[in-house]
Amino acid sequence: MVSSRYLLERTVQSIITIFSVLTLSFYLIHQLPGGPLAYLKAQLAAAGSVEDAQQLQKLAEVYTGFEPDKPLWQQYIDYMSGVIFELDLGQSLWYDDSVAHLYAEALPWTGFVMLMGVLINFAIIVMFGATAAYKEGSYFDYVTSSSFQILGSIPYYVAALLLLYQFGYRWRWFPTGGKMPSVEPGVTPEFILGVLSYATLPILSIVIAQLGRMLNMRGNSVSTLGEDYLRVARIRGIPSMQITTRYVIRNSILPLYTGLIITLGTVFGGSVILEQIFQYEGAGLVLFEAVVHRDYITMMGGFLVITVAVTIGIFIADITYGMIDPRIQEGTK
Amino acid sequence: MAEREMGTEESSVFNTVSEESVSRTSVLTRRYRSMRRTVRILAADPRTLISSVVLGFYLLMGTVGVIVVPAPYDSTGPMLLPPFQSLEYPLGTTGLGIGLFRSIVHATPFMLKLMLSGAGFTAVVALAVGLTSGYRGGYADRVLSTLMDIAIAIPGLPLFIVLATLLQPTSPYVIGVILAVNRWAGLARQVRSEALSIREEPYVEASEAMGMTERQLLLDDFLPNIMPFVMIRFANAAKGIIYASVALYFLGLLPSSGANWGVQMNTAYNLGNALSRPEAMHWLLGPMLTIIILSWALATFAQGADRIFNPRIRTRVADDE
Repeated sequence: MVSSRYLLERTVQSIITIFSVLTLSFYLIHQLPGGPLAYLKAQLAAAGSVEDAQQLQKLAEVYTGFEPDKPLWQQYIDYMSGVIFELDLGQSLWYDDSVAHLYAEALPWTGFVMLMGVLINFAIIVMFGATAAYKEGSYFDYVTSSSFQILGSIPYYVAALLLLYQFGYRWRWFPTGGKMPSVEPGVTPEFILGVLSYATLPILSIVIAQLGRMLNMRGNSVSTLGEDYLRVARIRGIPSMQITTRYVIRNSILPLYTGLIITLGTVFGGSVILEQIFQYEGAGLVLFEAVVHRDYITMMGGFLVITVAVTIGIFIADITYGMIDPRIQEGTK
Repeated sequence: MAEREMGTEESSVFNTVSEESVSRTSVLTRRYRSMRRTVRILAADPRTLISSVVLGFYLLMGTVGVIVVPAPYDSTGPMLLPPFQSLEYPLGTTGLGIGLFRSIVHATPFMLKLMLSGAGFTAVVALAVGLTSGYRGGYADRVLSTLMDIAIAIPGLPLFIVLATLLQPTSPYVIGVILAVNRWAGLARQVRSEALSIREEPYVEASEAMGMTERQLLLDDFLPNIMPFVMIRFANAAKGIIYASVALYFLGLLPSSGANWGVQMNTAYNLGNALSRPEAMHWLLGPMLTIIILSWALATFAQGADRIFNPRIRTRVADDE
């Protein structure tokens, strides 16, 4: 379906992106006051558990994966190959676990909430956007566009706080923190329903905060409705339902799809604050706790993991975009 | 032709004095007419009008308001007074006995500076990168496009958190730039595609055939066409900067330097436990509503402005069946 040249180009681009982000992360770790080693040594010494200086040095090297005696380029190569081939992101101080393992456990939860939020939101904005465009200028159009605009002006974390206040604390419909019920994990209805009830408010925050994009869908649909081929379709007597789904929605979704990709990145990054508010133990909360406890190795690991996850997401979306839009297949972007 | 004449006015350095004085009057009338048209379109949708008034109000709050409204630092008021109860504290007081309205007003200049520097940085970098990429094409385009793609792929908040933790900035201007460190990329990509389509225009070809320098071409033919587009996105960028900065302050990840809405939310949430105490909720609601209204105004204003420059959005097609 997708031309192999396009696929190759996108693959190379994603690899370049990941490489650049790794390099950036390496650079930033070295920007730590006194370098990562000195920093860690100070922390370990302050903890008081290790007295011997040499042992301290060794321990710090194990944790950070940096060996300061080597030249910088050697350290860089070690760091890169460690991350790429061994998935070695260092050792977390605060969690007492390997950073890679920490995020591997947390990431699916974040992915679940973010993806659900974005997809539900997408379905809503496409439906309402297309309908509002079809009834352009009507009372329905005015009310829905205005209210979606207002709802979409609520930052996701403000939406989260408001939802938590009303549905969590006042009405007690949903739990106010955590990610799963205290029942035995497994494919039981109690567990699954419990997981869903913990995820509902975070998902809802994302859905509400992105509602403003309905205006984009509406705008796209309005201009699609003005196209000549729609006039032709009407003259040919194609039922209006079919016109809406076949012609209007399909053509108006395409520009939104690239927006969806960027949204996914924003939403994923926003998980840091969203998960903190809901105490939802995903990648964002791990990152947040790491920052609060000055666990820089875990912090940088989280930055890397989230960025790579978003890059892969963008890659997948780009490839599938080529499948949806036949014009892309030529390799002309 | 219109673009050429407008361009003459913009960059009079490149023209002889006599030419300039001839075209200036016509340019002025043209300007006046287009301004009237602009105002008409803005006024046609009450939402755009309201949003401009709201934005003006925030500007007033950040300039005159700071002088008129007394500073919030005297914590002599009653604790947790509900809103709309007294004239002295119209929005009530915090758990520390500080007037909420005063705090919100006195936080405005800081937020405005932040928005200005962040959105300004976004617009300038996006213009420079997008124009160069779209106009030059070839190798420069490839390199810059890759750069844009990388910057777009990096999720904002984690990057800001990492930078904020390492740099610990306190100046609103520095924070604004940090929060815009990859925001320019999305806009630059749009500027690039705009520039690509302008390149195809016949008048650009004509200018090129006339032997205009690259600098002249960019200033006269490209900039006037892209500027409105960038101005609209300026409002959206400002909205994004507000979102991100309040998020970081709310999480307590930026050193709190003076009053701002994010810090206020943080205090109400952590110190005031506002979520589980309905009597303290207005403490949290005050700054939150301030942010929501501002971001609504920015988004609505941008849309209204979009209608001025983008005739496609104006077309009305619903009733032609």
